[in-house]
Amino acid sequence: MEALRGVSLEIPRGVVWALLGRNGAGKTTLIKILLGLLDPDDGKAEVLGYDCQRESLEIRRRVGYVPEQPGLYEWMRVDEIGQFCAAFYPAGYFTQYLQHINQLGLDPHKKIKELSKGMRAMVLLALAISHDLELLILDEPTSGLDVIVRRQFLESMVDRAAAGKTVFLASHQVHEVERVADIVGFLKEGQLILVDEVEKLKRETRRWLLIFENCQALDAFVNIIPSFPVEILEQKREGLELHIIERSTGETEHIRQAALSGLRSIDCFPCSLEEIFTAYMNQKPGPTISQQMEEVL
Amino acid sequence: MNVACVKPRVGSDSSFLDETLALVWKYWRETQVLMLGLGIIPSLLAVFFVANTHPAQPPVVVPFVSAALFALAFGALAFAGETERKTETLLRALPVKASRLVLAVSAVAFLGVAVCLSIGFVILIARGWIIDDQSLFQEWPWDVYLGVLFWAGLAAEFFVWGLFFSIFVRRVIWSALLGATVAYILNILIVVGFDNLFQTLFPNRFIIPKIGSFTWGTSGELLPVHLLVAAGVLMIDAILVGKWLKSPDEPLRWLKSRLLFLRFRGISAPVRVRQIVSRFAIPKIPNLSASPMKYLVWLHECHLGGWALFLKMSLFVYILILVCISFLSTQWLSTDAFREWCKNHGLSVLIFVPSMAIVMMGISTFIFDRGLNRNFLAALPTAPQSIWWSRQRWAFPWLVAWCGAWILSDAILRDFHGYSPLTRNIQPPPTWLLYALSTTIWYATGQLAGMASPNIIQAFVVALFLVFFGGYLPGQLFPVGRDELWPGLALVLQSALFSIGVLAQTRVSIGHWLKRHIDNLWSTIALSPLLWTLIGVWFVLPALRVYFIRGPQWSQFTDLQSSVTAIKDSMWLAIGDRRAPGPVHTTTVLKTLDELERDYRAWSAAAYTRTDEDYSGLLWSRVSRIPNFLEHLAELTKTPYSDPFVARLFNVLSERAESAGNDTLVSDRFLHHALFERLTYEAIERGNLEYARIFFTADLCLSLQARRTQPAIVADRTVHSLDIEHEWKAWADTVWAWCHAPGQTSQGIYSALREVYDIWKKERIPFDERIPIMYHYWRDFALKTNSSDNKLYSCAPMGWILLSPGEKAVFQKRLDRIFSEWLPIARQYEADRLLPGADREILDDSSLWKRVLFSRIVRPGLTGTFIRNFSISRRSI
Repeated sequence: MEALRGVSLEIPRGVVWALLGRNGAGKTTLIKILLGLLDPDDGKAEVLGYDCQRESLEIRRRVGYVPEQPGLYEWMRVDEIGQFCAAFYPAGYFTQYLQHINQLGLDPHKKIKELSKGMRAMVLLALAISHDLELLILDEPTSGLDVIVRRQFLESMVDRAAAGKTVFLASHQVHEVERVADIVGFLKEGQLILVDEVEKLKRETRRWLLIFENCQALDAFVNIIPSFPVEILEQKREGLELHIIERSTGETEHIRQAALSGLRSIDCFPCSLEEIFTAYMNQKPGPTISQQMEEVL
Repeated sequence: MNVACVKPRVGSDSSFLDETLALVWKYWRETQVLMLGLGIIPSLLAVFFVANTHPAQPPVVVPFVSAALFALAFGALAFAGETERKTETLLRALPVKASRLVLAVSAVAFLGVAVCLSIGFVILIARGWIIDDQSLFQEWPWDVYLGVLFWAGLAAEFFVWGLFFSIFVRRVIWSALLGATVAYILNILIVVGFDNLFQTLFPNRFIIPKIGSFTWGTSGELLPVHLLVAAGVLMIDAILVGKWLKSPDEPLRWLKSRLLFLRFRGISAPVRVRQIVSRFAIPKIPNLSASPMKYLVWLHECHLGGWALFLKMSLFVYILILVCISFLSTQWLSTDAFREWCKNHGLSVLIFVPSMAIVMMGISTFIFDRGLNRNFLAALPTAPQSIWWSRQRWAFPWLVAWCGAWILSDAILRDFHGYSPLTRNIQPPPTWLLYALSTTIWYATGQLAGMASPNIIQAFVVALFLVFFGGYLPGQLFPVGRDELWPGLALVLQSALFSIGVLAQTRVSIGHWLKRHIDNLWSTIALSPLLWTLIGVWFVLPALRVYFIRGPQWSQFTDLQSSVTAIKDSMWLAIGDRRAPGPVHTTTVLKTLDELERDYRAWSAAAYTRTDEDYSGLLWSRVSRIPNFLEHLAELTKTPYSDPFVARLFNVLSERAESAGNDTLVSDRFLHHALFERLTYEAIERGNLEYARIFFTADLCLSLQARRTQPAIVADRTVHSLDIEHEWKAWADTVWAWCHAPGQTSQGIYSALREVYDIWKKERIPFDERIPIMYHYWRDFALKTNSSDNKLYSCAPMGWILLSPGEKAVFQKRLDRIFSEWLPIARQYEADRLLPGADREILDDSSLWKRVLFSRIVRPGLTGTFIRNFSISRRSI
């Protein structure tokens, strides 16, 4: 089964890079390839200048990784697991780890099996960030965390990026990604369909709500949509209302002008990353959006 | 893909030592329970079993066996355990090198083996210290030494192969099973291969290669080869671990790319195998109108998948093997050849398979419901009790089937011949009842252990401990004389109570198990059925038994009660009762024996070199000065089984024999009282026939009584059989009848006894071999059995002995080979009408044997030849 196809990306230093995708899109597979835990059938992957296939040990030494499913040794105590992992990293790991544990409000003498799911996620996070890492890879890091810890955690990600470290984040939580990510990538069915800066993406994408006086006017407008120099991400018709999410780098006055005849009202709203993500994910390959509309009509 | 472009400095500050020590610490902590469990339990079992039965292997081998089991379990847990616990991702995320991982695992395996050996030897030394047995520190016999080497080699092979399969499979149990199988088969192949190589290099000695050249001894001799092979496999393991650290599928992919034959379509398809297995393993979904219970059973069956199929297939394969063996024994092989074959291939271990399978059934009822699956069960709109009942319903048919297979195996392997189990061997109800009880106990303990343990191997160890602690140990520590009158009743009650208690515990715990939470720990413990069951088994039942024995309501116990209280000088017996002849005699004899034994201890401690003759002389002079001792002993030996006083006397003596060491007058291994033997010998030497007869009978009675009062063991192979008891009784009574027969001449008895004891002494026949000799001697010679009768061949000569199957096979083989070899000759003599003893000058050994067999007249001159010939033949086999 093909999990990823034609994925090509380059992540600059000192950014929070977020990978968004639906379940089964291939996010975890991509992370495993980056960590050298899975060899791609074809192509090449490098992390921090190291070949992922041949130098995975060096990569893991310099990368912090928080896996999706927190599997910890249940019989260990919180401090013991830090001590165990410290053996594989340079000196100072354990001190850092204890600091993080204290910041997160965990009892170092508590057994792992006595911790809740969120607490375990915090332990994993502390384990991942306690060495002098250059890249932090997080696979669904905030699932199970409460609101306070989540906020604290996300802020620490931003700080880390500000300090010149790179954070690679795979998540479902789009609204959280929106707050912290510098660059976002959309992964759909194993293909990377979009990589862009979050701010730029949000700036260029808008949601339109058009209410027409009659169906004829609506139909006429729909027919001329493909001629607009914009990328229509989503188009939804509800009675005499038309919802459009479009992305364009330039002016969008032509939409307003084209819709003037028979138009009752027109509004333009900025889009959240979640709306953009949803729009991209719902895009169907094959027939264009206008063709679909014709079929519906 | 490229994440950042600047290649940072290469290197790490963490040292090799730190990483390895951290991994060693982790594995050490993870396997502590296993280490302790496998170190303690087998050695404790060895102590208890070995004390009561003649072991097939000496106790010194047991710690090595437990170490080998630990090595297998640890190897199987190493990586499959990580996968089962879902901690593999964390381990993979760490920058850990495969070489250090393998080094740490090997170091812990080595340390664990050392711990198991240490614990085992500490237990055995403690046992030796308690019962004053120094045999552990004496030089081991060569076969024991080879046995130890075999287990050491097998431990290394178990470990490397367990590790090998734990890389490939995701279930610990599979890696353990596959590892054990491959390691054992490879062990056999190495031995056979070397044997064949040797024969090829030395063609003059070439014979057709055969698997039968494998024995534990030959394997032990090749220990260096086994270790070399294990080292090679460990190197492959190290490479594969490196692949496993990348991905769980990587090792197989790598192996496929290296091994050509794995690329072939038919073989290269674990996926294909998985598909086939799943096709057979998944049962048909119940129809919509089916009850929720059926759905729950179906769900569990589906969830177990290939494991359930494996358990089922094991049963069919097991029955098939048993059927094949029975056909072999009756159709194709002679009895002797069949026994030889069974011994070479260690088929007696088949008797253990059902108990292991049943405990696995028990463990499988709950252990696989981990993680999300248990959450799913907890969320089902059904009562926890329904889930519990569904598991019992799933297991019940297979338990019945395995119980049947167990009874069948006992019938077939009990004496290695005959295939009429249902008509002959299972006639006494206690046999099947014991198996049914054992099935319940193994299943219940397995179920509880599976509920409480994180993995199947730990569950197995816990189940063993539970059976030992709750099922076996109380029966051993509180043996009851009452079994003499109601055989097996106490055992049945104890087993039933324990099984019910453990099952009740699983039923009560199902709610907590589903919730993963105990609301009130202390109240749960206080109300725990298991706790109360253990209290019942350990305290209440023994107390009740004591009460019933003392109670006045059973008249048949009155005599026994008098005897018990008189012997123990209890205050709650009336003085008048103590004056009864039975207790008086018993007390006198016991006191005298105590004094004699004290003298002997003092003498043996003072004498630098001990000479039996010197002591026997002293003993004789001492005994002859004690008034009434012989008179009382003679009275007691006249009615060895009908008189409860006598029964009690010999019970006490046999209990002493169990607790005494080899250096005392009593031999603990064979429960043979050396005191009487010495006295008999001295009496013969001094021509005192009456004394010799009394001592001899006492000696026999003691041996028989000791054998007869072996406590039946609840969950194991040693079974208290009424047949055995009757046979012993018949033998003893007939010997007594012979000794006191009206036509028996003093000279005849004197000569016979003289011959017997002379031969024993001169030929240095050990105690254990004297018993079978005596049996045949008295049966064929003294009892004047017509040996041409076919019964001689068909009767089971060793049916009276309570031994392990392997040991039994050895004895049977020795004795039956003689019978099978000599019987045709004897028949030929009979057919040719050649009377034995016609020409003494040309008689060979066979004719001597024949003469003994067919002689209707007791000829003392032939007795010695008979025994000598018998013992020499046995040793030469």
